[in-house]
Amino acid sequence: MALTKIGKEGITGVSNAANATFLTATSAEGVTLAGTLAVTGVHTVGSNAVATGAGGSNTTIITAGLCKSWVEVDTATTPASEGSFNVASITDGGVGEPQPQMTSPLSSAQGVPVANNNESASGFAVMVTMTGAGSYRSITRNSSNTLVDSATSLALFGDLA
Amino acid sequence: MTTNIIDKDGNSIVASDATVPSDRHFRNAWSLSGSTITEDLTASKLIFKEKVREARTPLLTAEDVVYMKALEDADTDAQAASVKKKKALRDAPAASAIANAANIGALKSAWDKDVLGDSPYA
Repeated sequence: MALTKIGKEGITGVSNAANATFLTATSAEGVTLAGTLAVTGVHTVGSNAVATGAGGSNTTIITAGLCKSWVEVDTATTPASEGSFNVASITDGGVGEPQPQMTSPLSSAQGVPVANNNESASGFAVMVTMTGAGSYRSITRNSSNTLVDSATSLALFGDLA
Repeated sequence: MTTNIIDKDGNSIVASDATVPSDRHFRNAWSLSGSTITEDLTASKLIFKEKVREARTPLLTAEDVVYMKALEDADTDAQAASVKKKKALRDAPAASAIANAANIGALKSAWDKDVLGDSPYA
């Protein structure tokens, strides 16, 4: 039996099992911590975790608001990542069309990708669309509506599978 | 991180396994055969012509201004010179040097810098 509860009678359910759960609190038994919580192991936050806004009244669902994938890609030569998160590979779909393939996909292709062109040249427009639950594609054109290679930053929001 | 390349026909190869052209000027004309990617000449010529059209657009607009000024000044010599320049710009995509180019190098050399300005392929 694991250590499962601190009740009015003190610590109960003590176990010396190596994988014992240290503490369990039911939904009616919150835990309040005034000091700093330091976690050196993996700290898993569930999809029900919320954060209170700076105003102190409204809350937001943490996992829903996190960026699920991002990459800076330069297509001046064969497209290559210059930094990324949750991107397994990049597909070179043609001039100005890098297509990041995600390591962990979204639950559907209904994500919200955003993009920024990093070039200093004026007139570049970059668009980005989902091509599947685990991939997205940006398209960069110049002021003549011609596809052009460029350095592009991409980010994706949505719900992971 | 792995990069995959898709050619003009949708064929895919891991970039590190492929031999690719030295530049991306005709990237959308890339054609994969085995592990080698080459530039399809016919598709490259279409890309080249689009580049010519892109380059000539602002030149034609500027030449329209030149012609209007010559018209206002009743300068027939200037009008004729402007008409000649505009005709050269309109004819640029149909240059025989493009149609007759036997390889990518010749195609790049087909850029008429006297008409279109500096070559993007230099």
